[in-house]
Amino acid sequence: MNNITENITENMTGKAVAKGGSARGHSMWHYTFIRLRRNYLAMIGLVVILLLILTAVFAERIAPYGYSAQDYMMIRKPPSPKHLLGTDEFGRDVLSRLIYGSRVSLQVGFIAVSIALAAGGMIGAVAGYFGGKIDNLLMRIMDVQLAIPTILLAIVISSVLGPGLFNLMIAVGITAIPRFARLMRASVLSVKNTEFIEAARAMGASHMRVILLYILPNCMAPLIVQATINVANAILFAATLSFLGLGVQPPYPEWGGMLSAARPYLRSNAYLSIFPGLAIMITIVALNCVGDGLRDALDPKQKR
Amino acid sequence: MLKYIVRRILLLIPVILCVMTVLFTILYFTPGDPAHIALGQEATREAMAAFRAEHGLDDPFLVQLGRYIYRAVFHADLGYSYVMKSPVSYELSTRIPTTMKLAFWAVAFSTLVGIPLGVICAIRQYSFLDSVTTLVTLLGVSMPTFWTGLLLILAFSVHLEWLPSMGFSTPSEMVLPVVTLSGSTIAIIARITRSSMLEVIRTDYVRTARAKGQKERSVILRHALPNAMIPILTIISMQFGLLLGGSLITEAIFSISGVGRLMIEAINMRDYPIIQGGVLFISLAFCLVNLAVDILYAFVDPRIHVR
Repeated sequence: MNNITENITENMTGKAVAKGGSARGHSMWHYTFIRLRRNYLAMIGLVVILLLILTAVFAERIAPYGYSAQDYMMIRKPPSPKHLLGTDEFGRDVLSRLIYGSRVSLQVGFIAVSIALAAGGMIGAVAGYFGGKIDNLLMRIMDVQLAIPTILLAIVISSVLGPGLFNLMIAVGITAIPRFARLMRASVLSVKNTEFIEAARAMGASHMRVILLYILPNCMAPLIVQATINVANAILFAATLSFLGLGVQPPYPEWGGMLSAARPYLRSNAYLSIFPGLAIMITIVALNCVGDGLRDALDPKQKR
Repeated sequence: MLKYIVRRILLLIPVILCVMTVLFTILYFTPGDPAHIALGQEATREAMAAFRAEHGLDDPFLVQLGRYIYRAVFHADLGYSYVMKSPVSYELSTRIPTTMKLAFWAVAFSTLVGIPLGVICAIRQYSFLDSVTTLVTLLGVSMPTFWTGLLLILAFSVHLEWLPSMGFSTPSEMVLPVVTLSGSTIAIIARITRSSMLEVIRTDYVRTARAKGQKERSVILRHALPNAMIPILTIISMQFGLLLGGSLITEAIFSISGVGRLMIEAINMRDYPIIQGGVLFISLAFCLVNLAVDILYAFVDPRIHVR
């Protein structure tokens, strides 16, 4: 036990980078996973997310009907054996639409966060590594962006870009950039002046090489935790934007959009408003559990 | 102290000016001719040209930007809504009180519920109440605002018929919107309070307070809680931004005519001056709240004075 924590702290400070490659299975990630496995909430979350990814990938095979297949004899019918979660106002199967909708949510979640991670990470790394005027300029820009509440910025950007899946990803992605930039900058500052960076520079490594190969791997832990929690946020934002009619356009199903379409029928067909919301909540809960678990597992101060 | 406050307010000015510039630029380069939006698709070429000249829409970008900022700063004039045919500042000012009321009650409610909940959970760590609260707060942070709102309407307006699902003028109308908007904030405040209190309770000075025979109540309220306040205050001020954003959704769901609903209508009508003004107002409110909280820090934690 003691050995594990020691090894992790050693890896965190970057001393073990050189030997990390040769000692297989003894990396920080290996021990993180061991810790994560003990956290049953995080493991349940992980399983749920994996199931969701499988659902999204194999949507055509799993879904009992097509997402736009209409049956005019079955308009707004409550759950039945034929339509497990009922049908909507066009006689479309709600379960099938939820299954296809998982594609949008997961795509937006992961791709928007990748955009933010790449852009924010780059900005933060450059700002932290070079410091001085560049740092000041980049961070002030981030401050200005932080002054606008994130969901509002997402709404403005997507109302400017117009609806659509790709624009939704961009809008949600841009709003998350400052968080990653700040986090990355702080991590870079904490490793920038260590000896192994100096050694790498002395051996003639370019700035780019130092940032990508020496600094980045040592800043991964907080970034990954932030990214996991941000995927949850991004999915919530995407659902919110679709609820407002700014996201993915009908007939393609999106969970937030389905809720928005179900609003007029709240009194007569409540199930239409319940299932898409449940889908969103389960996804977010799962991601939050994994995020919390990862944070605890990656935190060298926590001894369990 | 005064120096610090003045300095912070001065630092706010460039940030707000930048926000104005960014918003103006984004919306300026958005496709769509304001003259078209104002006069409709059938407008004659001459009418459109006259309209553009009247509103200075043919001027270069920088001239328009400068004029916008100048009028906003010195005349509190945020432009003219071509769709609503009235000044943006007027449209906003009639709706700001409602949104402020909603945001205030939501912050007050979530603080008054969230902090005691977190404190109790920290005192009785691993108790039944703690586990239930942990689970509920996990669900709370994971529920989208609009879904919370729909569920509350479903339960309390449709089935129980206790509370109205629309409006925001009488106390009974205010309950559901405020609860909807506070939901996730309560959860977050409770979580932070719990973890912050747990950290403080383990410190030496709390043990000393207990050792000298202080009552448990006074140990928690006088020794532990004030020292746990900093992270709680931080999260409240950060949540305020989310709350203001969430008020858009809440106002839309409960048909409250506040700034949020105005903005959603503006988005649907492509009424950019209103969007611009609304976002600016909300960002300004957000910055001012953050500033107020930063100043509060100094009162909560006298050590901050030293800086």
